[in-house]
Amino acid sequence: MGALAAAQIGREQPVRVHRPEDSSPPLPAIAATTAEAIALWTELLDAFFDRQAAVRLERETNQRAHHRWRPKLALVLPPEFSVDRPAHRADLAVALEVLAATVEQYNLEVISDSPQAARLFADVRPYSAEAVAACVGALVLGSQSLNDEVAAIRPSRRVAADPCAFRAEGRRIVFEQGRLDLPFEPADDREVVGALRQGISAFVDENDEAPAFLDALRRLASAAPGQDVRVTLSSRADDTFAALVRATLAGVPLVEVMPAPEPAPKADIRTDAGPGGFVLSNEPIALLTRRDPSLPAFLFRGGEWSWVDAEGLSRASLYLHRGEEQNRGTLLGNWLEPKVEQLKARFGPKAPQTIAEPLVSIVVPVYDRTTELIRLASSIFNQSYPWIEVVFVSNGSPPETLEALRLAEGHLMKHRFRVRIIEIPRPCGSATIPRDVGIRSAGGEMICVLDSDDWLEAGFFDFVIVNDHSCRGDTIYYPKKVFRNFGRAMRDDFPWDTPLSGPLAVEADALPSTLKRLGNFFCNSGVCFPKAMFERAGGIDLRLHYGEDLYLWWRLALVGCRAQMHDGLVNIALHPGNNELAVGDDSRVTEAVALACDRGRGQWL
Amino acid sequence: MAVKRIGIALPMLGISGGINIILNWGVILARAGYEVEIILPPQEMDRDFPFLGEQDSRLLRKVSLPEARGRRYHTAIATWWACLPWLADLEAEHYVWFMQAFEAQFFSPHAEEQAKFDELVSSQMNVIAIAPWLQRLAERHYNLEPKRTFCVLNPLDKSLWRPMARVPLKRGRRPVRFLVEGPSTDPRKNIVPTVKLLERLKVPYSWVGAIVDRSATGPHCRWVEEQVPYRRMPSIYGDSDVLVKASNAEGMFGPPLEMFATGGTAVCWDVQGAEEYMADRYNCRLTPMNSWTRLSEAILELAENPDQVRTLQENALATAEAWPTWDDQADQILATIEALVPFDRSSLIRQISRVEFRGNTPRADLSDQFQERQRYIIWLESEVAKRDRRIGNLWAEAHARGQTIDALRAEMSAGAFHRAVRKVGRTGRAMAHLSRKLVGRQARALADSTLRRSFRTDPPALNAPNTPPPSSSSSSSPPSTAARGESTVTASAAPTTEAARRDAA
Repeated sequence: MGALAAAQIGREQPVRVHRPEDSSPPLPAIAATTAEAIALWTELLDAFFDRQAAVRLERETNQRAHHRWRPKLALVLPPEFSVDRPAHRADLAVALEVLAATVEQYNLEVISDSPQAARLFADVRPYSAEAVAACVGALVLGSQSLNDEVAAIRPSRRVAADPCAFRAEGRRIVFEQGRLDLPFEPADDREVVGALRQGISAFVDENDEAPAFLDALRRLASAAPGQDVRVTLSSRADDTFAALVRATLAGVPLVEVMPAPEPAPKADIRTDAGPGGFVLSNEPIALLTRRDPSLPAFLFRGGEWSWVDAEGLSRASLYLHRGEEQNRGTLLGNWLEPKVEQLKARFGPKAPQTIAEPLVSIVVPVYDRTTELIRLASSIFNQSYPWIEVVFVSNGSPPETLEALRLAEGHLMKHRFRVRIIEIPRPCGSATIPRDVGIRSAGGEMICVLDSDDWLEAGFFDFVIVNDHSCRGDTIYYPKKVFRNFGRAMRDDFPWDTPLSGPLAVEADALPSTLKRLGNFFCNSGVCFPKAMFERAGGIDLRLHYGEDLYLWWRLALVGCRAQMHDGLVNIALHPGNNELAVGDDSRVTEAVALACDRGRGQWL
Repeated sequence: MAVKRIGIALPMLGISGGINIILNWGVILARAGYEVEIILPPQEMDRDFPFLGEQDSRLLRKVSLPEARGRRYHTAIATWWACLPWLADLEAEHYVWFMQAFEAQFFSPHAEEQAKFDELVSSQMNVIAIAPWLQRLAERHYNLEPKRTFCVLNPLDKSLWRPMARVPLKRGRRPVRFLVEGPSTDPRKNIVPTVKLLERLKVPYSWVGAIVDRSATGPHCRWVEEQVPYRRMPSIYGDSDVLVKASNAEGMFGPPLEMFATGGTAVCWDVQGAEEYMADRYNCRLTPMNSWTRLSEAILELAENPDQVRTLQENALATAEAWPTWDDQADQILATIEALVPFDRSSLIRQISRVEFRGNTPRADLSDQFQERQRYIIWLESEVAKRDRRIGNLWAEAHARGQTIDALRAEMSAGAFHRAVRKVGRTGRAMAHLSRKLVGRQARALADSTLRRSFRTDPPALNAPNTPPPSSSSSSSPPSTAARGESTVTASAAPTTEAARRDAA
């Protein structure tokens, strides 16, 4: 050994500090390189729900970096696409996010006759059947007729931003199948007028049908003179579209054109007030996701009315929830092989009797945690159960948290666990949305929800191993809990550091009453449940920022879930700031009961 | 101009995909004019180069590690993380870690090698990765500077991996045939669970591997082949339609690409490396890693849809045809060797010293010691809890025994009273017998009534057996007057007390 080298032993080597990606990620290779394009792309990427999608898009579209021959997916922009329209830019951001989920396996090709497309994209291929046929599948921006046209050549989906952002906080993505045959009965104007009770309440979204739909509204208004005409614009509508609607309906008496409502305040969630009353629309999602589906509703499509009936229709053929676009297998299945997938999903996912050796997806919403996150990752690493996926959903966290996530990812990968990070750039206010997004993006058959400051004891998932490596497909498994004192003031005789059990096994018919009696005895952290049941129950209701967990357990019980305790231990840290044990008081139980009785059609939540 | 010498450190000369890649790169570098030496441990010097023909073997020179220490290299390349310490003893201008996999995944989660691996690979040397995902991983998790990381994609030997003739798949003609590839002993590849899964799904399958476990197969297994020569592998692949891989740690993930080249397709977990050339529902089926349920669904879907398999196979063949060959990639490896950043070994030596010194310092292994101590404390606490329970049981038993002893003592004392009563009774009866003789009937009746009255006015005697056993303090204290009086009265009422106790029983 040289003297110099020997002298340097023990001296600290300079460590290159890892910096998370800059706040503005570099542009993808598909972007045009003009100053205007750079500004537009910066705005587009900044609007992404998941920042990791933007990073992926940049990294994977850079074909100069390495050899990539891959099949292509097309992004088809309609001829009327305009960069200057905010609605079109919002739709484009959503479409790019969907494509970012597939971009590790597929290349991206932009096809358009719009002269404006070149302002954004470096390489735009003119629209033709040959151009579409050269791709495996296509996403069409906004236009329904173009979507049907493309679908005749390749599997195609129309993508747009959520038209009803006021209902689920904009967490839906329009993902409408091309040439979709809606199983609705046709109706004529007379039937529509006959079914209208309190005036004409319509919801208008911008699509190819919008002008014809507005004409039909004028027709109805003249057929039912004296009735008020209330027209609500969709959440996607911008000033240009609003002006068009107002101009078209200018001559109609008693007409009122309203912008899309703001999200309902939490206090009004059980009231019937709010934007649930419209019964006419040119957008099926607006009618299918109404709070009161008992009223008759009519969809205007193809120049005629039809009765809306959710029976026999799969949600997957119309829209995605946020997070589902990250579940690449399901996304590609629905998109590229819709017939096979829709046969499976038509009546909601089936719950299997037992799940053998399930992949357990641990979903952890994260906000501003560092050492706690490392502790949690370490406890997951120490699990002996091998089939684990960990989904961290960062909820507007600072760079230190992202650094801790990176370290946790590297550590857990050594155990051959599947690790994914979703990075929501702006805080959502609570863990509700990140948890729902994480669960929907998870690939596992069993979901385990955890808070980022909690941690598991070794052998937590032994309940799967001891039960012949399988677990029931209709059971919520909840662990024993140990509350750890991290500064929260509790009553004097609070059982700190003691394993606490629940009411052991509770059958499905008794679970609602047990929840009502005991409140949220699951306590959420470490609770495992089958993902198929979660989907059948409609997932987490995103309108609730608090008490949504109790409502979820309630709906799981309604779709047939039972509960069972297991011997795994979860440590729950009680901080002054967090609110475990606060949920489950009477008012929230009442609210959950009301909501559970109000809904019944989980897939349309 | 002097010939540049490249030293490639290999831990062994065995049959593995990684060694095949390295030796082929060595041949390409030698043909380009470099002097290539394969640095081996002394015990491996007698073995021949596998995979290479005689002509190619002559281009490479075997050098033992001690011999290599006296030579000077343009580039020294470690091909396996455990070879990295070798580089510290070699004199070279450039040092390279040839990264073929995320090798930390090769060890069990709590193995000591995990920490060693982290230390050694953080030594800031050049990295040549064989797949872009490995390059990204090195940059993201080992703080390597992008200018020191390179990627030379693993090529495909298309002279060997050619399309194989298969009977076309069509519904109702013949079943879709599956293939499992890999040794049964490697936990990363999950071969035995895969075989059992196929058996459970009742689909026809075959298994080829360096080590196989025939007991895992069942009636749906078509054949099992062990230690097949590399040249024969394409025909083995050509005998099946779909390769099934459920490995959760891979590098470049070569076998599916080789299957693609023979005209087959694959169903795999989406392990890192799969995305380099696999596209779900275009040329293969990819399912979430670690999910057996999704894998079995995909296998059944393919088994029931021969048309879908045929479409995937066509696209898979197109993918393999577009993949670069060794000749295509030769320029890239040469350019990479010339672009390496000089490195002075000092940081590597520091990392080695950290690994070696870790066991010497009391603080070095603090986390292990801490965990060990924590485990010890938990064990102690459980032992204490057990002993507490045992002591509690003993106390309960002692209490029960004490009660029994007290009851016996009470009975014993009651026995003394009984004896006394009997004695008194005997005396009384003798006196009565005597009085019958001595006095008249009236006097006897008076005596009898006096005696009965005295019995009737004795209620405490009835409660005597129900009183709790005397405490040690009361038993040790001198008998009080009342106690004395009670004992006197009890003695006189012994038969009644006895009857009451029998009733209670």
